[in-house]
Amino acid sequence: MEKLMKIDRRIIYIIGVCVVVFTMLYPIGLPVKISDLARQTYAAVENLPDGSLVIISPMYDAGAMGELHPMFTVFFYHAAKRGYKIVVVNTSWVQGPQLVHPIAEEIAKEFGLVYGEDWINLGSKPGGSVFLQAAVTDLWGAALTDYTNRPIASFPIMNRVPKITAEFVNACLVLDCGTPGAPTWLTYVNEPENIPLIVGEIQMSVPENMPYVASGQYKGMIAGSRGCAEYELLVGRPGKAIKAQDTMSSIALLITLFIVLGNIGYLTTKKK
Amino acid sequence: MNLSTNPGIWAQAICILAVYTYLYKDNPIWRFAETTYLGLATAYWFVFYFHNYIVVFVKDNVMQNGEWHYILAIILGLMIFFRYVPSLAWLARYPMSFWVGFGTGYVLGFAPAVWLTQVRTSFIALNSVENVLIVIGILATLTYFFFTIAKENPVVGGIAEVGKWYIMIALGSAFGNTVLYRWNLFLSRANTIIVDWLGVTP
Repeated sequence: MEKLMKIDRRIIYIIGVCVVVFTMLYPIGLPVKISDLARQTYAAVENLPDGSLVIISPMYDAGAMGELHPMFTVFFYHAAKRGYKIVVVNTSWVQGPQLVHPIAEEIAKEFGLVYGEDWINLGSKPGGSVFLQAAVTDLWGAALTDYTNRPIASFPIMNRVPKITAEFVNACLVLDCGTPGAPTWLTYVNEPENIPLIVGEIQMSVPENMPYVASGQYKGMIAGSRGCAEYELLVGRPGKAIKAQDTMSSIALLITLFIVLGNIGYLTTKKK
Repeated sequence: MNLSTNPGIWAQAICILAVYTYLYKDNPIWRFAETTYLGLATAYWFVFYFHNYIVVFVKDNVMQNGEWHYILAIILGLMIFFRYVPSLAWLARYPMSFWVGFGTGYVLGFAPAVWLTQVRTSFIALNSVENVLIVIGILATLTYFFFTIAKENPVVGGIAEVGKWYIMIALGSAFGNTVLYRWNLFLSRANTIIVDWLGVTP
């Protein structure tokens, strides 16, 4: 039993890698049941008034794109499908808007959306909470240019949103992997301005953000990769998150097995 | 198998493999990847902020619009570099103290509304097992953090013990989610290696 306590971590890594690669190449097709939270999140986006303007904020860098790219895809796709005007902007996470731009362009092309009229990418703005607070009173002054450094006054869509208030913005869809993130938006924009906040969270941050859902401060939350897979089913566009579920379920099973074995080893050696 | 001819994908794949060599043990390939990343990231941030913010503000706001008060902020920001001059290092404290003071006041102005909503919504009707468990959890966990009350008192100690169990369950949940998140990151990188680089189709 002592051997269980001394398994080389590299053996665990190799087994994990084998499971990931095998389930990726040979999908099992495990069923994905849609949770109430996913339905609530979907409804929060779906039930916005026709012609709404939404802000999608990819508050992440390359490190989190594995989980948050599929969430950006479903949010953008859903908003485009509903015919909402879309403003992509973030603060502090420099790479976010650059990373999501090709995805946005592809979906925009699919729906015939025109850049600058139906959607715009304002890029990443420095300042964190200071930028958000400034954008509440004057988005034009705070953002200055779009993703390609053109003055935002030259884009018709910006006439609809001079500042981020409930009068001009119907909802903020924030993809969050750290600080500043969704709670920052909540504190400086959504709570003071009473704008609905709907978030996408990496798996790791789900527990700490659940209280915001329970309190109604988040109108919905895509909870990790699994939540995104459910949202993909609801929106009718199966993507990367659905494909990942076989692997994630197998890995969860494997980790559980290792935890059980580790505890058996621990308890047995403790008795001795 | 259809090996990619895209140099970007090759660079990604080689960097991913270089970084993952650390899982075996610390080695020069990993260190090369790490320092390359840090250098690139630092340069990227510097150029990004310089061209997208500093240049724009100086050119548009200060020079074109005559908003000269921005210069005060720039001078204050530059004062941070006095820390490299030992005899004048004390001047670097001014921007820091300004920033800390501003930040503290700023947060206190906005954050309580968010916290108070959390507090308000923790007052829930005890009409279900779930709600009862939530209320017990809140009270017991708060009791655990009352360090001014002696835990030797059997009642306080008992409640704090329940709070400790709640904390352990929450941490266990966070740990499980963290492990899954890390594997999800690996899945995304494995997809780059196997599908994008090697061209193996699932």
